[in-house]
Amino acid sequence: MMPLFSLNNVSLFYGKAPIVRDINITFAEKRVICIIGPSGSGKSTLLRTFNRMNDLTPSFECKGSVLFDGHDIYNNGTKVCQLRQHVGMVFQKPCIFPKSIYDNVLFGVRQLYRMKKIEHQQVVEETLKAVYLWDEVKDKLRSSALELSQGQQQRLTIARALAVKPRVILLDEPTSSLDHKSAGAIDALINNLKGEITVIMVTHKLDQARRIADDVVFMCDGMICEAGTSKHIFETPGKSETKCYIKGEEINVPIKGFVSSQVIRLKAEGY
Amino acid sequence: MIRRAKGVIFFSICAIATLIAVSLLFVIVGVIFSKGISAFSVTFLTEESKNFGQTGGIFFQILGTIILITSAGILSLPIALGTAVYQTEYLWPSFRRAASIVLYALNGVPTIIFGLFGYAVFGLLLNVGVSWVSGTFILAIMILPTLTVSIKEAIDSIPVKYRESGLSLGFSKWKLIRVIIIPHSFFGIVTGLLLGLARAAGETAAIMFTATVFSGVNVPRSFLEPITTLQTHILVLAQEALNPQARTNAWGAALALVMIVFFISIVSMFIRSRIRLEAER
Amino acid sequence: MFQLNRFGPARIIFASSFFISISIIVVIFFFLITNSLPIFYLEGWDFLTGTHWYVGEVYGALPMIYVTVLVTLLALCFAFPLGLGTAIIASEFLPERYRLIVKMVMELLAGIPGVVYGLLGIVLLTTTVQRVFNLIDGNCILTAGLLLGVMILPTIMTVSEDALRTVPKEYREQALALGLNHSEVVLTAVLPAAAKGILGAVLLSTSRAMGETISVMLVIGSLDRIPSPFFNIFTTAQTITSKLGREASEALGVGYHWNALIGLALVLFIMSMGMAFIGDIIVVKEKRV
Repeated sequence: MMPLFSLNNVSLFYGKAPIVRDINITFAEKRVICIIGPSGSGKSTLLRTFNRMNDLTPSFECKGSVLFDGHDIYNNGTKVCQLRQHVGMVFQKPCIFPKSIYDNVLFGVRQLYRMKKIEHQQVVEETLKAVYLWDEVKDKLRSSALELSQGQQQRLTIARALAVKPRVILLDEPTSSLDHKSAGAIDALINNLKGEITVIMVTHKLDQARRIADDVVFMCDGMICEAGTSKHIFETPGKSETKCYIKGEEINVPIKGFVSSQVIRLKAEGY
Repeated sequence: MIRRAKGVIFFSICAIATLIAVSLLFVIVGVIFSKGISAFSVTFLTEESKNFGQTGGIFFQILGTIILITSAGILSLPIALGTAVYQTEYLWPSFRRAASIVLYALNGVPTIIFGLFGYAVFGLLLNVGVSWVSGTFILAIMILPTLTVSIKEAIDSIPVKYRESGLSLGFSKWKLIRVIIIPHSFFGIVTGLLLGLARAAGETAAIMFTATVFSGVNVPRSFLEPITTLQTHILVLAQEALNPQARTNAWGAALALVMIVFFISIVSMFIRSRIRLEAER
Repeated sequence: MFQLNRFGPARIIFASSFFISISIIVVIFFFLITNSLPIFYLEGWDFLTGTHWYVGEVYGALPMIYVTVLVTLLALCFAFPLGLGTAIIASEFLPERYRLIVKMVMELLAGIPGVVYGLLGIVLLTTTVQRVFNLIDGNCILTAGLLLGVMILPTIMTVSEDALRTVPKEYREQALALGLNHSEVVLTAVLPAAAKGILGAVLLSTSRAMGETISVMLVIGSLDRIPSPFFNIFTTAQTITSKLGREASEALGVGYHWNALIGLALVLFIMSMGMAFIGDIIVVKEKRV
């Protein structure tokens, strides 16, 4: 089967400084992929490459080729908005427009597809069910979405991204601004999406990655240190850096310092 | 002890300055209102002016001012909106600063120069003479930077997350502008428009030899006819300093003009405070 | 699958309105240059240094330029201390609510049209000045300067207040923590930090004052001479704007008289633009720090 994404010798720059170097990796379709690693290792930068959100930074430059479904997305002929329609994204903090819950879900749909009103209702119901929000909000769909809690808002944000039926959804630390319980709800909904669409998620919570990932990519100092199935990374990691990072999390002690010959700052985040 | 005395002296100097400034401005507003009120009456506001403005009312002058600033606003708004959106959304970032400087420069042009320019372009080049359309164009150009800067500030203050959300849904640039940029800068657009209108309503030098005539005109029946406004009405009556009736009418017209400008400014301040409330949410 | 569509109709519409806006200033500058060229051919530098202006004979702009500067300076001398004092009181000594009220009122007052000030000047100020200084004619440089000063007072106050407000709270707290009293905090910590911002903002509003036409025109008289002695502010005179306002419609758009007037406008344009630019640069630099 053709891989969904394949990256060949990809290096990413902000100005002259390389943030991410020499990435060679492929992602299969309909899997949940977690990108883990210490802060400053270029996880978010890499993630934002998949739907060209990095273009917002004027000095950004991408070398190498990023293929989505066989098309080089950094080629000049790419129509970025169509790409982003296929590759949706959700950010760290929930972003809710000052409108009703109903309108928030349909925010993208209304602009991108022509639909009847009845279909609109179906879309809202389906997507809200997919993110486990339907039961909580079905009686107040027309009230302002700003009244929802942070966790609910983040699920609504995901629903808005799912409503336009992307093939891939990118999640940039979607639970980092949420409390424990709300984060659990997000994990559950990602599990629910398994097998239906591709999820690529950046996270610094190792237990979260362990629970929901099919594949794990461990990034370190702007390079991919190790990648493989979840089982492989967490149970039989091949490299000492990976071992160290995973252990640091387990014993709840942040490691600061230098590991191996490379200058790597390994810090378990979030604690 | 000396330190304390110094402090007291400094404070008192500032306080005296404040007192002088505030009382000066109170006197000014007081004079405008007290002198103007004595001229105000129902007939003054609803009658046309007679006898070269010395008797009669200012109905058509009020109407003229409102017509002129409205048409200028209608002409200026789309161009200002387009300019601000192009500058923030399309223009190469390295050119944005330069474009801002040019717009600031336009903002700093003395208004009489707009008047001369308009006289040369509309009076001589296009030969439309003293007309409503020249006044509209000149005032539209004059308030263009005010509107543009205000809209641009509103767009710049849209949180990045809204922009990112729109983009990540796959919106094209046009859709992003239509669905996110313009609705979320709506209050900024309205404030800018009102500020521009207030500026246009108080402007005399730019239109005095291009758009307005003093007497014999009611409402322009076509774009090519001249118009009469409060500003120029006051200007002419003010120079009739020896005729007490003309002067009373000038005060009445001045009060009407000041009230129009104040009304527009107060509405814009109210909307601006709404924006602040929105931003804090 | 992903095709590029770079120059859609939306972009073209936005781009054209942008280029209209940008080109206006260029066109105006071009208009000023071309329409004033004949007078520079005729008079050369004498246009800027000549002291006599007789229509049809000789065009010397120096009296108008000098009086414009003089009137603006006079207005500043009058408005700046009052405006700054009020700004300091409002920003540093008044509680937040009253500060906002003062500021709102000042912003309102800044919008009073020039022609209304002109009316006030003609009716009240000229007679007062005439009586107080025992002059033959109340229409003089001093009257114009005072009137312009009152006009720019609210603007100076609001922009200086803005500059004072942008001084970080930490500065004040630091100074207070050293044991300074309220006035000393303002003098030693706040004012020096805000000085550049105030200067820039004042320059910006000065450039506005320089271009004010109507009110000045109504109270300055109309004598195209450098006052004698040159600091005599009790004599009637002529600024660039009053000259333009009075004579532009007589000149009918052709001939040396018109060219000379546009030449005056060009001088005014350059002076006022230069002032605004310097002010802008100072303010922007201040913001970057």
